[in-house]
Amino acid sequence: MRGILSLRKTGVFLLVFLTISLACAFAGGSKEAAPAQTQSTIVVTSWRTEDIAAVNAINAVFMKKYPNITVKFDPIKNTEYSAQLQTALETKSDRYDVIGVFPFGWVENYNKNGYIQPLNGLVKNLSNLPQAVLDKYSAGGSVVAVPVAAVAHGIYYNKDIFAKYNLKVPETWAEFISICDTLKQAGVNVIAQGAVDKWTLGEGGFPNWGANFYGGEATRQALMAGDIKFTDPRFVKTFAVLKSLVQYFVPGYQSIDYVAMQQLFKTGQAAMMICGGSWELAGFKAAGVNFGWFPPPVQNAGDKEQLCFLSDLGYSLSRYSKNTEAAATYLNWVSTPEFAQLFMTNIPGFYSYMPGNYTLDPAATSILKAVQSSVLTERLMAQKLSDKPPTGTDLLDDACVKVVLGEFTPEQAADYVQSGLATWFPFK
Amino acid sequence: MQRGQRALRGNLHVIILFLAPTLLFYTAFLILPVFDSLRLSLYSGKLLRIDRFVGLANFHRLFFVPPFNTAFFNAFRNTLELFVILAAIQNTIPLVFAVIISRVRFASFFRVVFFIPSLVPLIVVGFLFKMILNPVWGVLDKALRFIHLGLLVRPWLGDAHLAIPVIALIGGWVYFGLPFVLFLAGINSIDHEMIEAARIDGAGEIAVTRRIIIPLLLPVFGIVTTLALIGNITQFDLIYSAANAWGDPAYRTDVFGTLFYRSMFGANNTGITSDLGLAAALASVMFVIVLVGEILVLRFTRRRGAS
Repeated sequence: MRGILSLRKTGVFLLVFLTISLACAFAGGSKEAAPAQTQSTIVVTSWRTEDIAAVNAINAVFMKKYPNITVKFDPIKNTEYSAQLQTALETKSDRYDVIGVFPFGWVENYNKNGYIQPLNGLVKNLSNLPQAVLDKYSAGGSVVAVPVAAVAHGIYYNKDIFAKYNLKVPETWAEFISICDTLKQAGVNVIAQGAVDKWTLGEGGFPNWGANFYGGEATRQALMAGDIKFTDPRFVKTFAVLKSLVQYFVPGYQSIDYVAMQQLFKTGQAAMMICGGSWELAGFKAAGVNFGWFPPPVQNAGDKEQLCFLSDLGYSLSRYSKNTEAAATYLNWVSTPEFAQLFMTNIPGFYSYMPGNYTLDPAATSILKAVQSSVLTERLMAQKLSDKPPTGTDLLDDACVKVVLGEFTPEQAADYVQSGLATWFPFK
Repeated sequence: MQRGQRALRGNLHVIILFLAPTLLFYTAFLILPVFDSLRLSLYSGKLLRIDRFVGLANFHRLFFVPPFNTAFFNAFRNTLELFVILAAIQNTIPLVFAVIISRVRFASFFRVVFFIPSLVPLIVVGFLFKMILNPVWGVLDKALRFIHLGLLVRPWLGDAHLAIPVIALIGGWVYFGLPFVLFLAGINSIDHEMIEAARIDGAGEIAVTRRIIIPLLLPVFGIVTTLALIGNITQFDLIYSAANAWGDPAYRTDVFGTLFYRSMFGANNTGITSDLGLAAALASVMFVIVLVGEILVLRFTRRRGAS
């Protein structure tokens, strides 16, 4: 019986197949000839996908000044930032030149893994910034990121709704709760808060309105030094306060995420947003909601306000960048008052650490006034307490969610965080 | 058959020629990585960088050391729950529809229509349903209130008891087509004389379905369950788009897929880097679970069915 294909036909088939595959392999176009002038392109990335238009406007000023450097802004969605960026850096990709980083443990980690370069000597204008701030963005004996922005935490409120019910901005917690009760009885959505994006509770909430309850900066320092434990009654009290707020959350809060919270406030469907930081200013202005801001109410009248003003975005230089010189030029420009003014004008709500006199928009200025008259603190778990897993950040986030969902009592929540931290943190 | 054997021998080189590329591809990209994964689980490292040999330490951490073991067993429970519900849905509803459609005309029209949802990418489906189920703007809650069933309104994806079943229902909607087509094919391949004989003996529709169709479809149940098993133990897209990568709320929708994603690529904004060994250990455990599950499925569905 003859075969399906004779040997000759098989040979022909093979030949054709190989020819086609080889043709495809070599068909990938040849590289274009390099241009005559030294045009370099640097790619900046961060988690601020909301700022694309603003950052491009800022970078346009830089590109006018330095016409042979093109700056592209390629941000990554904030929930995927860590994963995507690390994957790129671990594979030694040169895709990103300037990368957005958080201070403290984050930059220390990145430095340890060899992702970023020391900037001392490379970026001359670093000396413009206060040393105390530079220390927050240092690791291994050198500054590893240019501090770009800090943000303040506070509470946003809808001015129209407040006016409708004759409500005044509260100064004490009791006043705040009475406002909440009034609104709830009127059938208004009081607080745009959900339990899905847990950072809004543990990082944007607890150290925000909670700082006044657990003792703010002094307590944070004591916790970092290991002098007090997380089972301290002040932390338990703060969890209890969180639990008492749940009744004012928008119904269905169990499935509401951060974007939904922002949308609720932007469309005027909720009276207040308590996890909001000053980074929301630009978005709220663009949405046209008539909003105001007040610092978290103090426990008792006369208390000194503990305001969470956290060091946020910094720019580092990737070790795998192929355009170090151009990137360093960019970072040098970032460390100038000119950049600071541009940044604060285009992205209101982010405050530069650069000393100088700046003109800000009214909302941003009012926040800055509060900043200047309060005791400033950072996010509770940002420094030292999140260096190893289980990180303080994750523990606090999870504990807050469980309190909100009713799975933990305040005491259990504090225990949960304490026992997680105790597995690696040197408490005394 | 003599003719067949001779045909095979004469064409052996052609057969090998046609099989070789696919076999090579399959081995290189599917078989080898499985074993390499097992190898990697004995090391520690970050992303693609291996640090050092740690033996069974990763497995020890995965099973015995909190918070790793709590995360693991939580994910195990959620994954199992998702699988059980999905397998139950996929083995019943498509079957009912198949039995009905097999008696009706225009069966091929229904085949196409019911198959279309499974062609929509899972990410898109999850996202769409997330919008539909949104407590503030979602269509579902508005519709329920409109027909005066407002009492049924719940935070669907946020409720600890409802989140996984709801996601399973979404999965059931997507994965309806293939089981339906398989069941329909299975029913159509049953010898009609048997059914005629049963009808003559006085069996009603239900009895025919119960006593003849279902037992003969046992292999199809096996296939559907196998597909559900493989698909769901490693399920990621659906959870990621309907909930998020941390299994919110409070890890209630955390499954093996999302746990693996976090272990391998690092988690949110804490700069915590990946743990290659732990992720590989988890992947190895997932592989074993699917293997054991599949063996059980095969044994159970071959026992009585006529092949």
